[in-house]
Amino acid sequence: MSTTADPPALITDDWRIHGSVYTSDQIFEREQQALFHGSWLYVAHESELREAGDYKTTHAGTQPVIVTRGADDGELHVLLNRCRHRGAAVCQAERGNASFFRCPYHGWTYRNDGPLRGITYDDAYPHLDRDALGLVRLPRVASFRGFIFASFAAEGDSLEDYLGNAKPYLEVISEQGPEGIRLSAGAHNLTYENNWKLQVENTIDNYHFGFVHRSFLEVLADRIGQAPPIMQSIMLDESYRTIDLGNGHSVHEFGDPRTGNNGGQLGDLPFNLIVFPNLCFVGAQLRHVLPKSALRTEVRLYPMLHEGASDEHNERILRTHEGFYGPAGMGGPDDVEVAFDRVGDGMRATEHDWLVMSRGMHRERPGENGILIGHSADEVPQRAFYRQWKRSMEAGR
Amino acid sequence: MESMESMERGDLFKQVNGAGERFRLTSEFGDVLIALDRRANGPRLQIEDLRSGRTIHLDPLELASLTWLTHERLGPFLDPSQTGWRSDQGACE
Repeated sequence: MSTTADPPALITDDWRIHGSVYTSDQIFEREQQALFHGSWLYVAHESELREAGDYKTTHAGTQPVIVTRGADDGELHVLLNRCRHRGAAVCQAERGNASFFRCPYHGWTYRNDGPLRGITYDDAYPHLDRDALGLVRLPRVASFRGFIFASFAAEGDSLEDYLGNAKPYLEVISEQGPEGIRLSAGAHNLTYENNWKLQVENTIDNYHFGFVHRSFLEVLADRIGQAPPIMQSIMLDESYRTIDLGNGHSVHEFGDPRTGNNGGQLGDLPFNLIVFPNLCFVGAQLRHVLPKSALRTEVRLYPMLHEGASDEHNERILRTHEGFYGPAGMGGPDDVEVAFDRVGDGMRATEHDWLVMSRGMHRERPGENGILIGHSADEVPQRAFYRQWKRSMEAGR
Repeated sequence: MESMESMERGDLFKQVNGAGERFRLTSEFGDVLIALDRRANGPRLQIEDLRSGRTIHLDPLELASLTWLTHERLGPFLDPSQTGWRSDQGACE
């Protein structure tokens, strides 16, 4: 099939997904408009920007942005990280504190909420409209329970409407510590040469656990006498369930979303959560998936520390997180190798270029507020994602 | 020049009142050395811009008055054509 096909036709009614959804540059570019230019995009957590003048750099879709707390007004702003003069990224550090930003290329200087404050050797610009040359602000910024989102669209659903059924889960996450959570440990970053959606899909894919993470289970068995019954629970425990929350969001619950657990080996959260399109929560980590191109992705993994808890407690969170997800961890690198790299190798075979995403579609059942509930190992989260993907791509035509 | 990393605000007091009397603040935009200068008849704060070499001394009244500033009112000093990059003066760094 040509990659110029209509994107909605790339997903069939029986839930086959065409390979070009992952590999096509044209699809990627359309996603940037349809998925990343209209809806709410996660950019930061308030714990990263506590003081006036604090800033961090990140991306909204592929576009570099600076998230700042105004030096005088203390308000949150999201600015495109692009000098209005010749296009250089104004801020380079991942985080810092500055009331003014000075571009490293020619020294143009901006207030940290956007306006152009001055130009070097400015007598060469007798007629420049400086008021029109501030750093470009994203028109909408909103925060829910400490999670900061921004949108390129001046109008649209409120953040709370957009989050919808995902809100109660975000509330639970925000209350993990005695006084909330903080992302003060920073992030570790990974990069892989494949599509960004693979990382989102892999965030809730219990079907793979016994295969990709078999070595992890074997190490645990050696250490504690027997492997924790993770796969048995996934296959047999009816309180484990996947849910399409609507708007592309999905969750996997390990029993009660406030008290459930996953055997205590993967972190503290009693569920995995995906907030469409590119924010994920798994273990004790906030996972921000940053698309770079159709076949290149960066992922930032932020361990969520517990505010008000002891240093020893937070150290345990970090060590548990690193043990599975860290660069030398027993789980994360296996996901990169199999779920991203090997999938990349395999999908170069394009004679029959379709994936099958129908697992358990016959046993999805409706719940309250329009949700769809399925078996723990079914591809409910993937279908939740692609239902919204399809709607967004159709709307963006 | 001391090679001290930029410090948290709480450490600042410790350094000024304790044994160390100089500290360095660095960001991707600026690099300054701050010192408590006791050479004059009264104490002063000395700020040295490590990129340009320019130095200013501020006495307690001047420092107290600075607390009335907003960052926006400080803005004219951040205009590079007024401070360091004037066409009739050339570059200072």
